[in-house]
Amino acid sequence: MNERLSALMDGELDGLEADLALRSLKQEDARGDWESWHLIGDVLRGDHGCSVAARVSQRLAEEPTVFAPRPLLNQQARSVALSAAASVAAVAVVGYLALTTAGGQTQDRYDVRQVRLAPQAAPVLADYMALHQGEVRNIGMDGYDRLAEAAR
Amino acid sequence: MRLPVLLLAFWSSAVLAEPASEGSEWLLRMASASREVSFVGTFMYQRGDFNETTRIAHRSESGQSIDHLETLSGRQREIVRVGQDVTWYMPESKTVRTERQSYRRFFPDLFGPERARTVSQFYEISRAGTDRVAGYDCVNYVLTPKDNFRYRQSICAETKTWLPLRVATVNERQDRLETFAFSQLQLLPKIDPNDLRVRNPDTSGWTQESAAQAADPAFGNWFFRELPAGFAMVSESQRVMPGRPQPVIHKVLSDGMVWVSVFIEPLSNTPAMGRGLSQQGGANAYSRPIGNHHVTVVGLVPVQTLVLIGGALTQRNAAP
Repeated sequence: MNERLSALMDGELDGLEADLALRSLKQEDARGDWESWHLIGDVLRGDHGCSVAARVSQRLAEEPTVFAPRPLLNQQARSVALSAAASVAAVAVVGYLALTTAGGQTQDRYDVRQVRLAPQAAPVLADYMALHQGEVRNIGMDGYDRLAEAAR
Repeated sequence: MRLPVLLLAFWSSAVLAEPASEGSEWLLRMASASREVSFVGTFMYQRGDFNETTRIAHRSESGQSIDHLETLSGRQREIVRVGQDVTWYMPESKTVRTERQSYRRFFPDLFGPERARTVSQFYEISRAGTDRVAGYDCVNYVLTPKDNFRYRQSICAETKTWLPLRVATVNERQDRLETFAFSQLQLLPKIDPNDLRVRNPDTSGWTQESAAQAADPAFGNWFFRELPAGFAMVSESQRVMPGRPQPVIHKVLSDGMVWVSVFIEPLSNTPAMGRGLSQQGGANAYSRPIGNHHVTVVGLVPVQTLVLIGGALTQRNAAP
């Protein structure tokens, strides 16, 4: 647990995100994972209003075995809700903390944090999206054609 | 702008030999409809406040399909598809591009009949009432994913011919993420040959591009360890992008119904992108560095699908 936590603190999230996705693949604790993914989806869509912070608080209230950074988690979630609305291209970093209770059961706490996308990253993502939509799906041809022309 | 391209028209052949369900029969009829009927019409694509209008003429004759599509909004662009061979005409940039054995599908052609059984493995299909689209009665079919790796699809198929008249992608919150729908349609016994012709067939002096060329060995250096159920790679290519010293590798994955793009480029190519999830134009994106490369996975699928695909990508013989 401590290793995971320190990895998270150090920003060494490599592998953790894949772990999370793999666990939902295996359908273990599917409900909890599913809710967390919903939460992340909400943050990305920016259509959560104040619901993210409220739901995180609710989840924490429902689960009394809480790890020390509870207030931190809560505060971060709230800041996500505030800043995501003002930021078109927001990146949420996802990690998880595995907690072992006295009974030996592992419980997971999800940490949805937001990192402002570097201003120079937005056009790169826009290029990818234009390629994906135009190239694969034949949609949004204006953007795609301009990209193609610029590359010649 | 395209460099060597390799098209991998393979799908997982591990389709279980389960008996055809009612749902897969329905899908088969929808998938086959565009091979059996002829029509002219106009359809709209809508995603948030973005929309695009396209005119389509489609002829099915003795098992051979011909399509002529033309954008009516934004830049002019025409596409002619004869069977699996696709030609794009882009008059503003004076470019004509051809691709043989294309994996691409254009509305209302959702997926090949051979994929109907596979698609029904990953979606529960149910009827959900009737509706009317572009003056034709249709039956609504809802494709509910059996797992968490794709969104719900809603297809309204014309009552007599099963031609899909409207296809919508709906997320877990029941938001309609994107919609293709006919606004005007005529199902016809015969199509005027002029409707299938390109407006200006004289492309002399235009840039000629071919999408199918020899594979670059560099493609082999990237592979996926494990993919979300049903997803397989359908194409990989390499392209030059503006302001990038090195070309970008573009892999396309699909479960038959939805599409995911994976972009790989050297870290030196772009500004530091970091890692994480983002949303752009209604689609989700997941970015992460792998060794000396930056990887971004894009698609109209739930974020966990992107994270899993991004996490499964591996560089062969990468320095430890």
